Amino acid sequence: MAVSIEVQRSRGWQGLIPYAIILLATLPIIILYGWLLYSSFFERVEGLRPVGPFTLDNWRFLWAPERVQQLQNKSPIIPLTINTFVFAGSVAGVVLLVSSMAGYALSRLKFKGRRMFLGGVLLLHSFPTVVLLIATFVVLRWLGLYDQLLGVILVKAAFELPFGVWIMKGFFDTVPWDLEMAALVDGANRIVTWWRIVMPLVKPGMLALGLLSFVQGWNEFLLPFIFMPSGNQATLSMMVRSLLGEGRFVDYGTLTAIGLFYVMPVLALFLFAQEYFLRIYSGGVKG
Amino acid sequence: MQRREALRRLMGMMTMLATACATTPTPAAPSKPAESKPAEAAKPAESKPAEAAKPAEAAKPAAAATATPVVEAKASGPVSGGEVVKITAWTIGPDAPSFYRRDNLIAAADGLNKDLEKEGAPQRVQVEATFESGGQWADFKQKFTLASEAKQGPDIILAGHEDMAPWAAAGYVIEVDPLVKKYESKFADIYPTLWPAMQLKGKTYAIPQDTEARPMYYRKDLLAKLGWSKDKVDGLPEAVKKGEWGMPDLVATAKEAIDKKIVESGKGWYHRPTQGADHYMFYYQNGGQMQDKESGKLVIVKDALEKHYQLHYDAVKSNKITPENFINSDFRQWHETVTAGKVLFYNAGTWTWKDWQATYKVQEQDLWDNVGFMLIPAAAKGGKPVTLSHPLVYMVTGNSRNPELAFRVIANASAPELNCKHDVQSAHLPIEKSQEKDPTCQQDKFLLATNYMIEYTTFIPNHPKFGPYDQVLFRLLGAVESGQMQPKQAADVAADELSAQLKDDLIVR
Amino acid sequence: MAVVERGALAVEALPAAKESALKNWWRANATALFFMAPVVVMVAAFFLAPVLITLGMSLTDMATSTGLSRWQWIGLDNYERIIRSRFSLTILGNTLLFVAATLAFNVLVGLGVALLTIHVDSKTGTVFRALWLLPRISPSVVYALMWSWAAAAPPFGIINQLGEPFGVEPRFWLATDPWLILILVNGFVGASLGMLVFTSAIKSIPEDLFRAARVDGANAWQIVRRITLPLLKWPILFVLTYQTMSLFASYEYIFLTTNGGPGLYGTETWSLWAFHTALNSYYGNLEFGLGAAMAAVLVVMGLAISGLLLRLFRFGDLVGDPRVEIT
Repeated sequence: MAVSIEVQRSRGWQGLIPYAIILLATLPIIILYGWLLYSSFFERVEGLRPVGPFTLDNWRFLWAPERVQQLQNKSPIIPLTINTFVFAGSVAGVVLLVSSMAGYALSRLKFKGRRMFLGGVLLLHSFPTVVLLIATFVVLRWLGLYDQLLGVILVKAAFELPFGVWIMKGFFDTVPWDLEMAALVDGANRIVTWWRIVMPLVKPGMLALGLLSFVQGWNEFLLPFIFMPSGNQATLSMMVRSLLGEGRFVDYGTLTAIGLFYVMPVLALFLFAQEYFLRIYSGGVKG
Repeated sequence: MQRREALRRLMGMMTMLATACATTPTPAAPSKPAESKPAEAAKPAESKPAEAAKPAEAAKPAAAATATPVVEAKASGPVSGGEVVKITAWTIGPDAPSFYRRDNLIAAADGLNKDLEKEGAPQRVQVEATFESGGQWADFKQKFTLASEAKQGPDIILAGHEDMAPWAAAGYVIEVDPLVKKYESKFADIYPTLWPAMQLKGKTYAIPQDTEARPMYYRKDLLAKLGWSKDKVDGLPEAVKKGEWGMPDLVATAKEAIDKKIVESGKGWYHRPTQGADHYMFYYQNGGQMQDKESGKLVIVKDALEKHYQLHYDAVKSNKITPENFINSDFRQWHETVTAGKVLFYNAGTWTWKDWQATYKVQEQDLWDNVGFMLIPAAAKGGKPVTLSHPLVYMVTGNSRNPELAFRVIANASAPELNCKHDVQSAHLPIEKSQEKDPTCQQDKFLLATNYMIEYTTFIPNHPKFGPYDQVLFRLLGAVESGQMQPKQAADVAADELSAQLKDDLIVR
Repeated sequence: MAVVERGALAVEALPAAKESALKNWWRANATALFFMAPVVVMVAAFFLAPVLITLGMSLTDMATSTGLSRWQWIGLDNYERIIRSRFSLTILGNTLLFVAATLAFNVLVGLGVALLTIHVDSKTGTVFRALWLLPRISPSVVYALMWSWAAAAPPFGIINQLGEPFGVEPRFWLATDPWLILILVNGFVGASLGMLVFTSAIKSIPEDLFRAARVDGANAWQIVRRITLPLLKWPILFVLTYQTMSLFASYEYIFLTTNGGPGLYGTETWSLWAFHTALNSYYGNLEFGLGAAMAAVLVVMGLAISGLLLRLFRFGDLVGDPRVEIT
């Protein structure tokens, strides 16, 4: 679909301008991550100068974790990755479902407290969540959800809801009324209309929201760690934290390599989701 | 029809989601944190010193699905012949080699059970302990306090000695004086210098688990280039110990090395680049006090604080033996620079000796050949040299239903042979005099060579308001080194700001 | 429509009037209730309730040392401590500088990247979007370390090593130009939010509009000016407001890089201050009450600034009632 608003490349060098600008703007990221990758293949680097010969040792956690001192006594990386996927996926799922329901109502229905709700959730977001730790504990304990995975997922999802609600409302606002109107006049009720007619039209919005809340779950460390003291839900972010420790016996090479490994599943998910959501969307649902 | 269809789908989705949450294939097995196999768990109790070097084999994760990566739980062997009492404990490294903090507690169960049998007591203990390798202290402590609130905490907690202040006030840990008296013989040999750090307003709340010291390291090869004889270089620690060679000498020597281009400008003296207890050595050395003995209140000695700031101001601004913009610079580069042999004097922990070998790949022999260590020299000739320790301690929690048994587990875990395993494995210093003669401790040359420093040690105070106190003093150190404030002014601001914040909890002298 | 009318006709005899009013209310609001119930329950339980409890905590001396049972009400003492601190004004200034500069970077760069990646072919666009997503999906500790090493003191630091041939004087960037580095560190993370939202929003614009414009002979820039940007007004305003709030509350990357330095509170921001003094003091006791008070002050700041923003951008239009209402 992007094809339709692409610059006509027939114009020669002018068509290359966006390429040049985006490349230039992205250069810092390319250099930094390129350097991170490069340094993961040496014992350590002093800026650009490597110390010692080329080595795969830093990546040993993939095939021989028992030989990495920092990883002794820890479970292999693959189950950790799966755990993290499940946690982040659940958070993203809850956020997507709840926000798209609320977003639809806020965009389409008239009811009391609508404005207040919209303003209120945005204001809640300015509260640094780390300050809420104690109060959240009180609530979780009261609900019997302390030390439960479900509790952590709900708390994390709730923190992401202000964003979700607003973003979904915005996307529903852009959907034209005609299709929906037709369905309603035909006798379909709101819920069916929402699910079958309108939801498919906001796929790009769901992509943005799903991805961002997935990433939030992927990176969350404190909530599962503090609120599940006995279960100790094992996630990748906990593993990374545990590698850093307090500066004693830190193996920066392994940390670098694991940091790079950490981003890959999300990157893969992004590429897949981007393709899936935007393709289907342009595939003609919206004639 | 359509509505029903949609609802059905929605319900389906929610159920799927709920199942996803519920059947997560993760080690989410609350209330059973210590399910490792008995056979394996029994191992550390009988492990020989040789095994200490191979932690990986002693503690392999049971199975991927049940092993937790951050917190590794273990239990002592099955017991019979009595009413079994379960004692739980939480410990942390965060450095991975400190796993004996857990294993020694587990090993202590055996001895304690024999004692109980002898006494004819009906109970037998089984110890379940966790150890966190990696992670942050702050998170570990937060987790403990909340678990205590929820009455789901352990019987024994390992933490820094200063944590007893807030925790005792909140009732998370209990006073152990009567128990210390009752089992006196187990503690007779602990260095008396360590006890003040175990106490709060005269009452004992903790038993030391290990300790360390913070020496001043120096490069022997660079001093030789300055024309020092080998005898003089090797005799330096002794001269410092006697107070014959003080901080002014250190500054002068560093300056001389820079003038003669033996080291680059700013590389005469490296102190710790980040926040930490180490900075207080230079405050103590100038006559500083941090806590009033009688009232237990925090103390600022303005004059000592000014001298402390003056030393750092001069080091950066006039003598240029310490670099500009040093505070908050990267600790890794700090280590890279000192291990490259480019800095003449640098103060760090005793544990860094092992870290330089493990992380920065320096050969141990290289260190012995080129690096010396001594106490922090006295502020002036004839003064007293210092160092600072931050002992980690075991405490009995307010949650414990069997505080006496929990305490006895700790007491047995403090046996010299168990402690030495930990010290050698993790590069910590002994807590008991008799450990010097232990065969395990004797293997470690560095440990024996630095042990004397415990006699000169100081501590940070046990006070609930030490956090803000430290925060302000450290920030002002940064302001002084960056030239933003003069030492005198910084000392005044420190006294003002802290008086405003801490009110009655602070005495300014 | 039909549903409501039938309900209105069904009004029965007087005795049942009360009941039927309830019924009417239920009929009119059942749908809204269905859609809003999950969000209301979740936000109320896991966000609003903790916030209210925290606001209550700001009036107490609650700390690790008091636990959750031995605390006392102390009125506004915590607020007084904040006002009396000689550092609070410096920190306030830092906060405003940090939020304004980073916000500008986030929104402008996010918009720029979204537009550019749409105007190159779709494969290239996806690749560049993925690159811009990297900072957000990296573990914060690794990302912060990467920047600290890049901005390290000479002879280290790739900024120094790469800049030297171009005549950039080697220096310890984190100490000499802390704000520059901090804004970049936070900006590269923040820009991806705008990028994703804007990209999705552009993709939601009906194609016909672009097609028509092109038929009229508009060039790429004119299409952006006249079609894309006006239709992005809402997402831009939203990202602007939302990120303002986020930035007021954010501290993690500052904590991991300059940690509020150099010198005396050189780059300490309000939320980092709250985190430092009350939640992650290097030693021991955490002062929850004081931390809560600092957070409350932060919310007032956020409220004032976003109120201003919303007035500026006519927020009323955006939360206004739906134009067409069928029920």
